[in-house]
Amino acid sequence: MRNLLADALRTARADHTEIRLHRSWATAIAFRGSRLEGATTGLELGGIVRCLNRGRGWGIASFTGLDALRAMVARAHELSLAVHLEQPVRLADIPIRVAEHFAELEGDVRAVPLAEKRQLLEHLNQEMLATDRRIVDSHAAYEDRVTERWIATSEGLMVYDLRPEVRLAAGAVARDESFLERAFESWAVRGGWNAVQDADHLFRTAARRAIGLLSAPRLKAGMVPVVLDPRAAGALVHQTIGHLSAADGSGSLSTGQRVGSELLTVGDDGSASGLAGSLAFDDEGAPTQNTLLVQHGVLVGRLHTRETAGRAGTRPTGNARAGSFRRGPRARLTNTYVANGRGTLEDLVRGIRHGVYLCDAMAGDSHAGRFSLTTGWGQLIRDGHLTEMVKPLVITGDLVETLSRVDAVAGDFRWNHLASRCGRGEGGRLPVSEGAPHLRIEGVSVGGEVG
Amino acid sequence: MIQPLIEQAHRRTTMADAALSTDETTTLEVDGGRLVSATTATSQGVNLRVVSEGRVGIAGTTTDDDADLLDRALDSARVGELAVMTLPRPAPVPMVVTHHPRAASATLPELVALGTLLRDRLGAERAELSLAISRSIGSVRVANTLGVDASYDASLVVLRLKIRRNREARRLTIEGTLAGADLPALTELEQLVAMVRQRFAWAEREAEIPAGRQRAGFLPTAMPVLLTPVEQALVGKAALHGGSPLARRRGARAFSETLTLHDDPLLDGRPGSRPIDDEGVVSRRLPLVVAGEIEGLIYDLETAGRVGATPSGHGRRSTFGKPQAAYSNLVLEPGASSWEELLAAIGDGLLIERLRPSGQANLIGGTFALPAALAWRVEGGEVTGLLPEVTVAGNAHDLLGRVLAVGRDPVWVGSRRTPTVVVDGVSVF
Repeated sequence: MRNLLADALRTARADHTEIRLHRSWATAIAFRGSRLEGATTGLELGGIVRCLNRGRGWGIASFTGLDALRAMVARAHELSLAVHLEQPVRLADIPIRVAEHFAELEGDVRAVPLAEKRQLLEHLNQEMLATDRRIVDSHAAYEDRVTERWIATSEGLMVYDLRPEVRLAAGAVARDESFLERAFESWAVRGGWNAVQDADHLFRTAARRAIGLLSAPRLKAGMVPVVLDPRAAGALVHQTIGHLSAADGSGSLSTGQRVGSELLTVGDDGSASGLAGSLAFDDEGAPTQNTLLVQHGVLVGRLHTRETAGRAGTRPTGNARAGSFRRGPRARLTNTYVANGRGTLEDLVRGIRHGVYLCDAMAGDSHAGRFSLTTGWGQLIRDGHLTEMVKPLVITGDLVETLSRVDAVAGDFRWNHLASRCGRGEGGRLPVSEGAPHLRIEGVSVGGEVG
Repeated sequence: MIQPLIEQAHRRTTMADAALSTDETTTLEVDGGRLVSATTATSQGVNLRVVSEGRVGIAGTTTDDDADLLDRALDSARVGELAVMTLPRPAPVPMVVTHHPRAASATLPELVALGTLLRDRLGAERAELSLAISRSIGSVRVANTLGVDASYDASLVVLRLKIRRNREARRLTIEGTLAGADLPALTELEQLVAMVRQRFAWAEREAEIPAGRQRAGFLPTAMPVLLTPVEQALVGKAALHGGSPLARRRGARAFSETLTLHDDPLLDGRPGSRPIDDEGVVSRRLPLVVAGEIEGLIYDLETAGRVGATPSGHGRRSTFGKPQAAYSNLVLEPGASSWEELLAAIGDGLLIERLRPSGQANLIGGTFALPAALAWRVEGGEVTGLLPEVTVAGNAHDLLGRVLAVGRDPVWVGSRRTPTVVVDGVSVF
C-alpha cells in the first residue's frame, strides 16, 4: 500500500496533496426479542484525496476500491483549481514523519468465527429477556470493526495505524398493565473479543432499569438543584463546551471568556488509551494530545485542524476527524472530560432538601447559547438522600448561566465507555467518549415529559 | 460483476440475490457567487444475500474484486435467521424517468452558473447567500437466482439555498431546496426567488403570539413533523413488532377525510423514482392513507414473508447490512384551498415554516415539542409578521384528525410532495 501511495503522490501536481486510505473488516449482529435480526459482515476499502493550490481552495475526491486512486489525485487537483477563496488557506505545520501504530487487538475479532459472536449476543440477549417476566421485548446488538488507515502527504508524511473497535448495545422494553418503558445500556472500547467477555451485567442492568421505570413517577417541571452522574455530566459538557470548542464551528465563545464556575475544568484527550475516541494520530496525520479547553471556568483552548490552526496562528491539536473515508476531516471531539474535584456522590447529595439525581443521557443539543439534555432516568433527592426512581427528564437552559451554577465537583471521575457517536456538523458520525465525576448544579430547569 | 456472482451463488445456495450500486456525486458550495468548495465522491458497492440450508446470510463489499464475498455470505447464513421470504420472478419493468442526460453531463461551470443566476436575482436583497449544489450520477442493478436481472441509471441534482439577513439582534435565515433528476428549470428557480422575496417582505414586521392552543398552518417544509410519525407507523416492520399505532386500524378512519397519502416510485424525475426496488420487485404506486383511512403498509421481502403480505416493492439496500423497507416519493394529495383560504382557515394563529430538530419528538407515537426556527404570525387571515423562536407542541396523529384546510398548490420538498395543511390545536409556548 505504501508503494501505491508513493506512486500516486509522484503524479500529484497540486501544491499540497493528502491521501487517506481505509480498509476495514466489520461484523454486525442484532437480535429483536428472541429472534435473530441478522448477522452480517462487510469489507470496505476506499480513500479520499485532498488537494490545495496556492490562492485556491480544497479540491476533494473520495472513492471506493483502489483502482481510481491516480485518477482521483488528478481530479482533486482540478477541483482545487476551480475554487476561489477570498482568504487563502494556510496549513499549520505538523511533524512530518514516517510511523506505524498498532493498537492492542485484545483478541483479534477477525479470527473469531461469526457463530461464536452470535452465540455471545444470544446469551446476553437471553439474560436481558429472562430478568423479569415484564420484559416483553428487547434489542441487542454486537458490532466489531478493525480498520487499517494510511495517510500520506506530498510533504513526505506517511503514517499507518491499525485500530480495533467493539460495541455492545442493550435495549429492554418492559410492560405492565398500562405502561410501556424502555431502558438502554451500551459499551464501546478500542479493543477486541476479550473486551466483551464480561458484559452480562450490562444487559441485566438495562432490563432492571426498564422494570424500575414502570412504576417511577414523572417529575413536575421546575427549577431545582440537580446532581448529574458522570454519564450525564460528560454528555452535558460534550454538548455545550465541547461542541463550541471546535475551531471550525459556528460557536460564539471566545478564548478568555468565562463559561462556567471556578470548579469547572474541561479538556479533550484523543491520546487517552483504549477509549472509543482514542487515536494515535488524527485524519490529517497530526498526533493526538490532551487539550485543555476550560480551566477554572474560563475558556483557554480550542480544537484545531491544520487549516483552523493556520488561520488562528496556533498549532493543530490532533482533532481533525472524519467519520469515514468519504469525508474530509473537521475539528471534532475525541474523549471529552471534566477534571476531578473532591468528595463523593453522598457529599454532593447531602444538603439538598429537594432535588434530582440525573443519570445517563439519551439525547442532547445546543444552539444559540442554549442547551437541552434528555437524561435516561433519575432519582429524587429528599433531605440529603437518594430516594425513588423518576422517569427520564429533560434539562434545558442558558449554557453559560447553567454551567456557572455548578457548585460542586466530586472526585470520582470515570470514563463512560458508551457506544455513542457524535453527529455534530459535517464530517459524519464519530465514535467518542466522555468522562466526568459527579457534578452538582444549584439550580436548573428540569421538566417535560419525554415521549 | 453481479451476474457471475449470482451464477456462482446459484451453484452453492438455495437462492440468492444481489444489488450493485454505483454513484458519483459532485458537491459544490457557492458563497456570494464564488465557488468555495468542490468535492467529488465515487463509490461502488455490492450487497449479496444468500439462503443456504434454510437460513439467510448477508455480506457486502466496496472492494473492486472481493473473491471472498460469497464465502462470507455463506458464513453469515450458517448462523443466520430462518429464511421466510420468496424472491421475485422476472416481470415487465415499468417505464419511469430516473436519469436526465443534461444533468448527468452538466459541467462544473454549468452547475456553478445556477448559483450565479440566483445571486444575480437576489442581489438586491442585501443578504448573505450561500448555495450547495450537488449532482449525482449512478446506477442500480439487481439480480437473483430466479432470473431477475434489471437495472436503471439515475441522476439527481439538489440545490440548497440559504440566505441570511441580520435583523437587529436576530439573524433571519430563509432556506429553500430544489431536487430532481434534471437541472432545475428556470421557472423553479424563479419560484425560489419569489419565495425568498415574500419571506423578507413578511419579516419587515415582528409579531408576538400568546401561549396556548392555536390554529396553525404547516407549510410543506414543516410537514415532516406531522407526516414522519405516520410514515414510521406504516412501515411493515413496526407493525410486525407491535410498535405501530396505525397498523391495527387498517381499513378504519385514523385521520381527517381530507387526507390521502400514497407512495409513488413511478413519478418521472423525482428523487425517489425507480422502476424496481433494491430487491428486484417491480415498482408500483401504493395508497397508504385514503380519505383518512389506513390503506397500506410498506414491506421489504423479509418482513412481507414474515407477516404473509404481498411485497410492496420498498426494499432498500445499502452495501452493508440487511435490506430494509423505505419510501420512494411520498405524495400527500392536494386539497381545494387557495392561499387566501388557507390563511382564512388559520384566522388568528401561526404559519410554521421550519422546525429545529433539537427538541423532543417521538417518531412513532407522534408527540413532539420542537422550536420553530421560522414561523409567521397570522391575524385576521393575513400574515402580520415574523415570530420569535417559539416552541410548538402536539401529537401528529391527533393533529391530522383536526385538519381545517388543505392547500391546492403542493410543493416538492426532497422526495415528499405536500400542500400546506392547516390544523387546530397546536400548543405554542
